[in-house]
Amino acid sequence: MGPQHPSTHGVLRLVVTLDGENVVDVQPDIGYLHSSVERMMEYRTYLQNIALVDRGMDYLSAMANEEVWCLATERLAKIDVPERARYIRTIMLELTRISSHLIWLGTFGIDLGAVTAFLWAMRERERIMDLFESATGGRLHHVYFRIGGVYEDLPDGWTERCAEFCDYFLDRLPEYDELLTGNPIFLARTQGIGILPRDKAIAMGASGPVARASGIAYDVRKAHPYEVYDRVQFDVPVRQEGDCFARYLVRMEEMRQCVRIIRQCLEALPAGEIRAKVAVTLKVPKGEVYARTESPRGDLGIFLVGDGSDRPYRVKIRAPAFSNLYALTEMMRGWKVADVIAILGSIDIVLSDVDR
Amino acid sequence: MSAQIQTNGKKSLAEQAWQGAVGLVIGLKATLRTMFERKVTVSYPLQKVNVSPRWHGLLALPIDQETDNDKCIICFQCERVCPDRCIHIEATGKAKDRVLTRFDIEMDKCCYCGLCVEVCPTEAIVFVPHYEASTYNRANLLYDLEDLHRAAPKEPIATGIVKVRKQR
Amino acid sequence: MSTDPKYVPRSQVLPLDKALEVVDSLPGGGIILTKVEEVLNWGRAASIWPLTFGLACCAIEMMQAFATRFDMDRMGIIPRATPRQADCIIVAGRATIKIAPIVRRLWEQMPEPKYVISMGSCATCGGPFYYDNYSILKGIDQVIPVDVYVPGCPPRPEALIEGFLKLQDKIKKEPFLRRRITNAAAAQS
Repeated sequence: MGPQHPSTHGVLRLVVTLDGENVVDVQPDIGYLHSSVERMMEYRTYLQNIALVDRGMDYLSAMANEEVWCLATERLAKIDVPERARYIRTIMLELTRISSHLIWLGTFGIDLGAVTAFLWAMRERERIMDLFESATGGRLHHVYFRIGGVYEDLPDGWTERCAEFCDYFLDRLPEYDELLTGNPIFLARTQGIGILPRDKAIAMGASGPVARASGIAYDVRKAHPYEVYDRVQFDVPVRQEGDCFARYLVRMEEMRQCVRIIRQCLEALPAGEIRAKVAVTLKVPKGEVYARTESPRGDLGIFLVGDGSDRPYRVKIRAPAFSNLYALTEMMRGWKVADVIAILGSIDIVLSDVDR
Repeated sequence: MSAQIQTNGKKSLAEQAWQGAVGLVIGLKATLRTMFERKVTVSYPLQKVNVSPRWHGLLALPIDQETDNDKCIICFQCERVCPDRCIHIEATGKAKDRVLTRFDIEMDKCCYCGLCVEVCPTEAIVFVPHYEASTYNRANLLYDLEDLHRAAPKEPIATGIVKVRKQR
Repeated sequence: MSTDPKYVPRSQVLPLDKALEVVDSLPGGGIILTKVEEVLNWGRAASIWPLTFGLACCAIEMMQAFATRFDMDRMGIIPRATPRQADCIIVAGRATIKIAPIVRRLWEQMPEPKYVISMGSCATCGGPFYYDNYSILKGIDQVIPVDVYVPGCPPRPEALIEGFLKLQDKIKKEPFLRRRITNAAAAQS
C-alpha cells in the first residue's frame, strides 16, 4: 500500500504480505517525510526553534510540541513561568487535544465510509481554529508559547467565547454517538478488530490512547504533572479490550475530560503577568534535561543537551507515533485487508511525528 | 459508556436486522436534524470571513502618515531573528543617516511565525490581513521595499469563473 | 503541459487534428474554434478534479477547504484518490527526496491536460526547511512543472480556493484546440 493512498494519513508505505485476504505480515516503510528536524534545531536559537518545532514534528498538535520544547528549555535554564501563563498554556493544550482528536475522528470516520462524521468534525474544529486565530494569530501553526510564558495575553471576550464553545461542544458530542457508537456497521468493523494485548503494548512502547485502551493506566499528566495538571480534577479513561472500538471510546471520553479541564482552568484563571523576562538570545547553561508531556498521540519527550551558547547542542525527540506505529505490526497479523484501514485509523499516527 | 454499546455475541438474524434498522434510524435522525439547521458554509469569494486582528497574513512596512516613510530604524533585528533567513536588509550611510537600499522578504520562504513583528522596536514591520497572494510565477513572491510599502499582494485577486458583483 | 521543457509532443497526427485544421481553414473558422474552446474551457475550469497529495501540515488546511465551512465542492472541485481520474494535483506539504520519484510517477500517470498547484511555502521553495536540511526538496518544481503557487504556512483555505480561481483564469485562456493544430503541423514537418 503505497505512499499515496487516500487512507494512509500521510505518506506511509505498508508492505503487506497476504494469504488470500488475510494479512500474514506487515512492514511499514517510513522516511517519506523525514525533515531532519533534529539537525535543523542545532542551527537555530531557542526562540527560533519554537517556530520550527510546531510544524516539523506532529503538526496536528502544534502547541503540544511548543510546550515540550519550552518545558525542556525552562527546566535547563531554571526559568519560572508565571501562574497566568501556566493556566493559559493548559487551556491551549487541552483545546489542541480536542482539535487533534476531532481530526482523528473525522479521518477515522471517512476511512470507514462515514463521510458525515468527517464534515461534522471539521465544522467543530473550525470553531476551535477561530478561537486559536483570535488569540495566537495562526490557525494551525501558532508560535504562541515563549520560553518563560506566552507571547500575548488573551484578547477581550476570549474566555467567554471559550466557555461558549465548551457548552456547544458538549451538546454536539452525543450526535457523534448517534452516528457512530451505536451503528452496527461501525461496531462490526471495529469491535474485536486489531487487538493489542497488554504485555505486547508495554513491550513495544505504546503510549497514549493506544496503551490506555489496552489496560495500561498511564498518563503523563497524572504521573509527572506539568503546568497546572496537578490542580485540576479529571479522569483518565482506561479500557481493557485493546481493540479499535476501545481506542475509539477512550478518545471520545478524553474529549469530554478535556472540556472539563478547560472549564476548571477558565474559572481559576488568575490575573498577572504572562511572560518571564527572558532575553531574545537566551544562553542556556551546560547540562542535559528530559522533558515529557502527554501529546494527543501519546508520550512526547525531548532530550535537550545545552552547551552554554544560544543554540542547543543536541535535541532528541521521543515521538509517540513512532512507537505506536511499531505496535501496528503486532496488531495487524491475522486480520483482513479491510481491517488494515480500520486499525491504521484507530492508532492515529501522524507521519510527521513518525519521521520528524 | 452509553446504553447503545452491545457486545458481539451470537445473535439471531431477526435480532441483527432489528438492531441494524434501529441504528439506521438513529443515524438518519441526526442527519435530518442537521439538514434544517443554519448552514455554516462561507461562499468564498462572494462572502469572506472576517479575520481576527492578530491574523498572521502578509508582512508589510506601512507608510507612517506623519513622516511619509516607513518606521524602520534599520536595526537588523528582524533579519537576525528570522528562523528561515528570508529577510534581506542593506543600508548605506552611517549611524543616524542610514538609508535603506534594500529590504527584501522572500514570502515563499516565510513561515509567517511573527518573530520579526515581535522584536521590531518601532513596530515598523507588521502583519496585514491579506492572504490571497497566489501567483503563476515563483519570482513574484519576492517582496521588495515597494511591495512592502504597498501592504497588499502583488497580483490582483483572482475570480476565476465566479461572477463577483463588486470587487473589494 | 506543453510549457514543460521535458514535454515531448505526440509524433502522430490524429483524425481530430485534421478535422480541426479543416475547420480552421474555413472562412470564419477561427471564430468557431475560439467559441468552441470557450465553452469547453468553461466546462473544464468549472470541474477541476484534483488528486490530493497531502504530505504534511498543508494537507490539513486542504482538508478544511474540502469540508463544511469552505466547501470546494461548490466550484465543482471533487477530490479524487487516483491520478488516472484527476486533472490537477495539489502538492500540499514538504516533499522529501525520498518521495520525489513517486510524485513524478503520479504526475506522469495523470492524463493530459493536467495542472499542478503547489500549496504552501514548503512545496513552493522548501520554505522553513530550506536551510540546514539534508532531506527536503527545495520546491516541488524541481520535479514537476507548477502552474500556481499558493504561499502561506499553511495557507488559509480561502487562499487555496483563490489559487484554484487563478488556475481557472489560466484554463479559461488556454488555446488547447488551436495548440493541437500547431503541434500537428510541427509533427508533420
